[in-house]
Amino acid sequence: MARILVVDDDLPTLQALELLLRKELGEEVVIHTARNVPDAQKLIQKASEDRRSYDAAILDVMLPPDAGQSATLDARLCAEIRNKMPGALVVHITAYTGADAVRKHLDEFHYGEPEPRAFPKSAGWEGEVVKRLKSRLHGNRIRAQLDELFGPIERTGAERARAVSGPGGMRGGLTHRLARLTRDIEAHWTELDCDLQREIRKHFHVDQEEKGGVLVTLQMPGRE
Amino acid sequence: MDPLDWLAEARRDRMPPVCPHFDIKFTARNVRVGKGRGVGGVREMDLIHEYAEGLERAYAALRGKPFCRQTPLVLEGRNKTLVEVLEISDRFPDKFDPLTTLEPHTTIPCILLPCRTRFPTRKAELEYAVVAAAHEATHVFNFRKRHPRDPNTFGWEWFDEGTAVFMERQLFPQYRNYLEYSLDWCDRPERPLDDGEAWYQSQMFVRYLAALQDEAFLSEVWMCSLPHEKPLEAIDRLLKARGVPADQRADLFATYCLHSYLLRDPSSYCHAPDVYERHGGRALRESFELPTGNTIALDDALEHLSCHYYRFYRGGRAGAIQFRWSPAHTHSADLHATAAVVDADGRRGVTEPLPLGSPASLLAEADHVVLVVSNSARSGAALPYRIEVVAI
Repeated sequence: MARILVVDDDLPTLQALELLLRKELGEEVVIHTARNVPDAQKLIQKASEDRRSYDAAILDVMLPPDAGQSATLDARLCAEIRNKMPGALVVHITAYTGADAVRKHLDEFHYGEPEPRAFPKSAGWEGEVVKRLKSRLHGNRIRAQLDELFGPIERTGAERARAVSGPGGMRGGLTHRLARLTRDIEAHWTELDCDLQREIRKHFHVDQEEKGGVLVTLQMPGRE
Repeated sequence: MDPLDWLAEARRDRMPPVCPHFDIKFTARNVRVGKGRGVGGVREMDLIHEYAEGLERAYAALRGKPFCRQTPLVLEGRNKTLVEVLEISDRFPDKFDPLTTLEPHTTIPCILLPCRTRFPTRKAELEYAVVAAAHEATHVFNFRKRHPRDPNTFGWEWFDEGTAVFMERQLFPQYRNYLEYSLDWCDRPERPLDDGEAWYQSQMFVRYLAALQDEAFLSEVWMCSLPHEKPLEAIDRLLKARGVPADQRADLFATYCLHSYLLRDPSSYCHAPDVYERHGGRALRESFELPTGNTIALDDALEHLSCHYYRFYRGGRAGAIQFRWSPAHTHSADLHATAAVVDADGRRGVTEPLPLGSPASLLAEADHVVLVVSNSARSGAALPYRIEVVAI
């Protein structure tokens, strides 16, 4: 289940985003919200202690340093997320894309990340943010399944001994693990980034279908 | 006449078999003239013969009575299911298991079988081969109704694997390969029936269903389920159509859990002396010896579609053991509790369900009393419960 943190001091924005995320990502998502830096820090600390990192965080660049105070650029949340949950995607939203302080923050904390590194709060921005999130969340899930099926996998000696015992050990349910992966890829193909699509094509044929969508089938070694 | 006479000839002549319903592709490891194929090649033709037998026996069984399944989807022109015999780890590092997937660029099922195994003896390898082929052939039939591309197939995996292992036992009981999946089934009754680690172990539930109704019922579940239905929903609707009353349907999983305990009882729908002989009975949560007047509370929680077993021995002069739910700590109608007196041979005497809040008592007249607590919810978080036990 994906876990997302949303932080914005503007309550209508916060509520609209939460509603949209639930609609777009369905039941398989846990969303936590905060309206200022200290409340968000508490959520990050709790998630870190519980070893249940956020998969993504949507952060307004300008946030109140404490409840009731005026919003200002505060890099503490980005720093904490980077330290405590480095795999999490941080998506910034802002009404001040051109501001020097915002550009400096993006260069300092988000150098090399795909553009836009901060989504301007202009028409349709919520849809763009959700698109970025979906790409990451579906991609993470598919990557994990690819790793599970195709490795390479680091194992201890004992784990390796168990793994090479089959057949004769437990059969591993390859049939349905593969089917779940190919269904997942077919459902989200257009949302996946190019690197992941390239990785998928190393293992699978991906054919465009006439009715739209793609057909994903396993490549057979030495037969094609 | 054995419908596999053509295979006997191929065996005698050590020739590749020409199967009526499967197109088996393989290469020899060491050819008479030419480059060796190393890990991707087959050592001896008898492996292919065993695969052919497993595949075709499963095909004949599933097409014939009582299963009467639809023919699998096949590629027009070939009219057979493609079977590739290859080194599985060439495709999936560190994995050696057979699987059923789709032919490249098509939506037609095909089977991948290993060209080599690590069994210590040739005999073990060949026994495994015939059984594994039957297992994968069952998937091909199941895919006819629940295609791997169909999102509605999600949630049917456990029933598919359970059916495939059930067919292994139906066709080749002498090899007992199915028993490997009974190990965790015996030792982990608290693991949900549909858990990703327990798909194969659900064979015991499939076996129970077939004994409770008949083998044709399994095919009904496969062929008559509605697209959006999950297995237990389809089973409930189809049992209703067969006239099974609502209370019995509601207790289906709880009854399965009780019968699962009674592996040695011939009247049990889970009568499985083979499983008992190999792995023993299902694991107990806890055992007690209760002297008269002693009271204990069982405080625990159960995942969906799982159960706990408690065993009580008579202590001192205690003549009965009384169980009651503690309603303040037990909130769900999905929790069931059933107590049964069991004799020294593992046979059941009196059985009593425990409705929430109602006391019930049983004379501990035999070897012990087993209390079976089950959670029949089809999903959701673990449900807490408390049961108070008094020796009278």
